[in-house]
Amino acid sequence: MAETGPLGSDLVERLEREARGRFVKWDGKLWRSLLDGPATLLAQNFAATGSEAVFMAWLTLLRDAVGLGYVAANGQGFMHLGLCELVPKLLPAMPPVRQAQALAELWNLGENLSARDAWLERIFVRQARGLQSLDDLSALVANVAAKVGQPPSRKLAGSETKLHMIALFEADSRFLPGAISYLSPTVVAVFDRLRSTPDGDALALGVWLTDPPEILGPLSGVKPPQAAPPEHDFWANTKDVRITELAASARNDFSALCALGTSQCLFAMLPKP
Amino acid sequence: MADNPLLNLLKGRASAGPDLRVHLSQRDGASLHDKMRQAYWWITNNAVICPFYDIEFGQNASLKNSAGDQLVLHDDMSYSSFVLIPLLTLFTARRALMVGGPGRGKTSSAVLMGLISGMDKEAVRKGILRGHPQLTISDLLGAPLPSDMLKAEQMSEVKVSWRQWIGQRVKIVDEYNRIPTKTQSALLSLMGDGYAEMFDQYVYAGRSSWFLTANDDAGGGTFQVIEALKDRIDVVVRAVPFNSAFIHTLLQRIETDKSPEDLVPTEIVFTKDELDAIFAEILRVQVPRPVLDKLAFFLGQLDFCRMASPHFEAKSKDTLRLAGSSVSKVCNEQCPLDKRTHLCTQTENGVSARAFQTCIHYAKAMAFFRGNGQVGTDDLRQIVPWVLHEKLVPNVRSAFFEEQKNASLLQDRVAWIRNMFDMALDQFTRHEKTRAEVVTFREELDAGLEGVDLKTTEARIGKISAMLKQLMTKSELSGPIWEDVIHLKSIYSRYRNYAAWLKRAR
Repeated sequence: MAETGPLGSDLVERLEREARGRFVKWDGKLWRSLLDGPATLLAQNFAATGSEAVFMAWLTLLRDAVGLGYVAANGQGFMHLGLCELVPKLLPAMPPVRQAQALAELWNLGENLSARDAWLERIFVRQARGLQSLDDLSALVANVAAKVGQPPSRKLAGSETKLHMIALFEADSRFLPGAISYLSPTVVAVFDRLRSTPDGDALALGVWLTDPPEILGPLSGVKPPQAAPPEHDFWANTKDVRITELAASARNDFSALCALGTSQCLFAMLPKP
Repeated sequence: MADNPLLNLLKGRASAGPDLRVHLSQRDGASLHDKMRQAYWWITNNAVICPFYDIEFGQNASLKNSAGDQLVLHDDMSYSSFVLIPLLTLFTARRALMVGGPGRGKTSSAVLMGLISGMDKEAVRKGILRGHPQLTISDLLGAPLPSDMLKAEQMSEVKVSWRQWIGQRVKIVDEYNRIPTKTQSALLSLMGDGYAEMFDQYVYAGRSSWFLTANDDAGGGTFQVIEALKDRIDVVVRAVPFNSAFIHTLLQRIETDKSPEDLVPTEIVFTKDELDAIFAEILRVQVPRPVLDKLAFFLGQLDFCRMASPHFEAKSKDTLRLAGSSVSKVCNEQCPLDKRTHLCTQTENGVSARAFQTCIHYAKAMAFFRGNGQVGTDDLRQIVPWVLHEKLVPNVRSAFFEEQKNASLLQDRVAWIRNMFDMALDQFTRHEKTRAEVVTFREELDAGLEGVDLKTTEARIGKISAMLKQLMTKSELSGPIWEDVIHLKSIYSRYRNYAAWLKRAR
């Protein structure tokens, strides 16, 4: 297997030659760095038990992912995580007959996520980092689908609640939370009340209202809410001494959120699990 | 849970085969205009070294130095006309003239258009019609077979061997201004009417895109280009100078011994069906009425010349032209119109209905390329100067150009025409109410006269007469007013004819 590894093989040259002809966004420099990194690692890990056909399949998928821009130099995105980090680590441990199927599922998941909202891909990236086996991809999808793809089972009204302080400054040290917009029942975009992006768009951070809530990082292309009525009444009634000088607030059936004029945190009232 | 769409995320175009390979089926997400844009960016970044982004959209901010030089920065996507306009020409199957000095990439750009239309490099190269002073009609179109010439007793028995380039989707005529005048006429028939005739036999050009090159945009060269041929050209593309910041790309080309034509990715090569589909999609792009009205307002007033004739209907620049005169001879202080604001003074001519159509077609293509289903005023503003580049002749003696800030517009037709368009948009806002009233009369007439009685007809005539009177006595007779009056008078005449018919029928 080592002899058919990525470096210096005819396969690699052929794949690269084809890629230059096929892909507008072909990034030869990135491709070569991936050959030196993940490809070499997988070839080493595959040396004892790996199938050459599976290795070629993976390398071809990696080539196509670079050409289509799914794998980029910034190393973000699910496809990058899957093909460049998870596969070299986890694929050799699978039985050969399952390996090609796992690669196909990984590709489909990555390609489907690239066409969905950025926040959904971020959630998958976070959840997938902890995968122990590529056989667990189905369970990962089912888990995220249950948490994000449908309204939560517990509503705020009538449930015991818990107040979470979400430290947005950990993602962006200068972030001053302002308007809040629900992107799904459990995902929100929080907009900086002072700054905008260099392109003049609203600067926003995504937050997943799970327990504990997770900051999903900067979101692009989301628009601040158009004069949505603030939910200040809810917070006035909580009588929590920490909640003063509301800068913005929002609420749905499953959560209540507010930003304070004196804090870089987002305050989220969620039902206790 | 079962209808949760996220559960389908593992399903897609990748599938594993029994041979342990992973197969990817054709991507269905890549739409045609994505592919168009890919083609544009590949050419801009890899083939035509062109950092001149002169087709700009969005809000702008300008930077000025103390000498008055101005740099304008826009906040939306910008494109290079030298790449984008040939692409739009390919997708609209129209005719582009590429002008500029030798070695500026005009022919290379045209060759790239041929390659991305699916032709192979050999066919594109062989298909280039190179203009030269000895080019004959036979060189251009083909020749009768010599054996038939000897045997034939009738013209129809002479088989003509037509040149292969005539049937190609992309036709390239290099240095068209070096083609002798007589041969230009044969080219005119092929370009304008889409067919050529020889020995009673016809050859049809089919739906195709034409790329003509000329070494200077003044129409010079060995032969004067006949006016009718110039009129058949839909759009002008100006070659741009090389920016020395990209010299490393030239070095790379030398060292690899490869030209961009050798490296066109298959991803940006269009099949005939795809080109036809894009053509149809472009035609489906909507032009909202307010946008169309603005184009009409701008182009419509260019033909007006108040001094052309005492006869109201003949106050057009065509009248002057037919009399062998010109706007520059009559556009003087005798005409009371302010030369700084009225567009009529700036041009020697107006534009034909063909130019109106070309503007609309290219604006649709521009909107489609940008991923929009409707044409916007900004699409028009960007494309109109390139369409009218060879069609409008400036009246260089106009008082408008005597002002220092306007004099430089004479050296840059794109800037000049865009400036006129902007002036027209300003005027449109002021004139919109009047135009809307005229349109109301038109819509009333277009609704049909069936069942409209004499009394109603007379009432409508009365209203139209009142408006005509108001326009003639209270408004300054400018290009837009002249157009409205002519339009109103035609409506008035239709009602008068109808009223006369009603009276006779009694």
